[in-house]
Amino acid sequence: MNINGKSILGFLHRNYDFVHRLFSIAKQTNFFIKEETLKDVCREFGVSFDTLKEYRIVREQCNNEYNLPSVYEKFLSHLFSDFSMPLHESVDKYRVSIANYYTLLLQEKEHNKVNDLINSLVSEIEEFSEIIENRTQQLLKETRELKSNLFQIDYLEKARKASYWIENYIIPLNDILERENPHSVYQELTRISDFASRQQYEYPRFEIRNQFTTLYIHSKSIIDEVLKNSAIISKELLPLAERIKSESQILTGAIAYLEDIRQVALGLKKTEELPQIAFFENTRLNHTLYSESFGQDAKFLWERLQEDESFVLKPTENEVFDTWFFDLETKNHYKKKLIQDLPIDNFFQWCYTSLQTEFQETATQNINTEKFFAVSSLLFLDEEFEKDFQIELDTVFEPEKVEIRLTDLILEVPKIHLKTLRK
Amino acid sequence: MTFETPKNHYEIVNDLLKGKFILWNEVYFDTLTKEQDFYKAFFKESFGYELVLRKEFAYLLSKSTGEEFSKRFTVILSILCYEWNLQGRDIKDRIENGSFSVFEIQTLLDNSTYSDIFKLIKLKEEGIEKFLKELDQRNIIKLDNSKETFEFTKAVDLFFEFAKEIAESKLVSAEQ
Repeated sequence: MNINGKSILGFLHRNYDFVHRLFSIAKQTNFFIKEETLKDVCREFGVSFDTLKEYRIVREQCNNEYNLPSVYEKFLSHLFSDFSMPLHESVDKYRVSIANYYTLLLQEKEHNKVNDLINSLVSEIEEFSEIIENRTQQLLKETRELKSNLFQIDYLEKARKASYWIENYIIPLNDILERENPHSVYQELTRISDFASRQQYEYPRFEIRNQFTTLYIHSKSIIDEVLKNSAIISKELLPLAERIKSESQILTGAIAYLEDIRQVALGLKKTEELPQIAFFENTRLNHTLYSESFGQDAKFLWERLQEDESFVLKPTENEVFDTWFFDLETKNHYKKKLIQDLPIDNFFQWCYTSLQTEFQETATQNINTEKFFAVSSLLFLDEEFEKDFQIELDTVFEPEKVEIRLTDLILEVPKIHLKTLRK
Repeated sequence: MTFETPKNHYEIVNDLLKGKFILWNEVYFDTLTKEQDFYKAFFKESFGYELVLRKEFAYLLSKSTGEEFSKRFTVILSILCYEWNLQGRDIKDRIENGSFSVFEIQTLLDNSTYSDIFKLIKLKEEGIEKFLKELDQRNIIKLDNSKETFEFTKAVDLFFEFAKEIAESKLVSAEQ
């Protein structure tokens, strides 16, 4: 078989869907695949397993396992815009190595070594730039997928995943890019850029001055990249992940609470085991307070209890219940009558006579204090008369006393003269 | 000996003992903040209650249990969270910034997958309106003048914290 770059690219091109599937499967298991799985995928897509091996797209390992060589891993990750996320240390190592190269460069006097160190630094910065770009985009992509919950994972798992990403990837990545952090890559690149900026004019050798110019331009552009990614992380990625975490936790809690309630209803859980929001506990006090009439009320009840025989209040045979109330209708009737009868020479007498007239044809002719005082209250309704009838009443008290005989009381009242003052 | 109390003492004590939240934008909140040492001691010594004073609201905490109100509130809000999430809405954002119609809430609760749980809290006789009125009196929501729509106050944060605590405990037990 003729194996060259063209034939390999041709194979990848012809079997694009197969390669994509292979990559997805391999990515889930850190780019190691069981032989059996690999053969299954080859069968599914009609691809020769041997060709795959010959092109060295997969490489045999021990225990019937194959792996995807790192060159393919990187190439296919780039091709499918789908990057794996090794631990944060794999990113942080670039920060360390960039700082180390820079320290060496500061101390180096030998021109050829300076040249090599600049080249290494440029290449390290370049790799770092690619990694943070890929990682930010990958985190954003996965966070968005988590938000839309394409894989229907439950809320608890969603909350757990978001927390894990925040703690292990997003915050550490933000820290090494963060402008304010003195140990961040941003600070390191700024120092390198300042140094290169000076050396591009000051270094004694022309060709190395050119190298410093390249380092200066490169480090400046990567600083912009770092700032751009840092902004994406702090403004979009972190808030999004935090929101997913918070929302998933709220939903997990809400659903768990509702399920707990159901379990209590089914008798599978005790009410006491139900979690409760602390603030809503009953803070109302049940003070026992005594009313001012407590003594009298108690005395009355005590006397009734002392009586040997129980008693029931019953109407006598001929007794008629008196259901007269000075309600609104009755009040209006008396108000109208008063207006019609104006001027009134003797108000209290008028009250009595009016009541007598009302009751003369009814079974009860009981004109008692309650009824009398109710009707007498009209004397104090100046404002109502003014409002309802636009009449202002004039009240004149005369020294003469009048006796009114009610069923339950004999009253001696002043004679009051009532007339219209103004219409 | 004269008994001197801070300004609006009667209103502060009365409101808090009724289970009401005093919100940061209310007149008494300033007094409560300034005199927090006095009030913390006052409620502790007089009733055994802890006064919780936060940046945005204050309330009393007691250890007694058995109030239906707590259960009803948590059930209703939990169902609403579940339903709003199904509609694809950001729950927290929606609760914190949204305005809700009483009718919409009633419909969601009646038609929810969890409507059986809603029925369990026996709200039917008194109706959601009366319950919302109580939430309004306690400053957990603010009903508008028409009593047809309402907004949540910052006091609802306690529900979020409560739900998160449950989630945390579930996470811990799932990992064990």
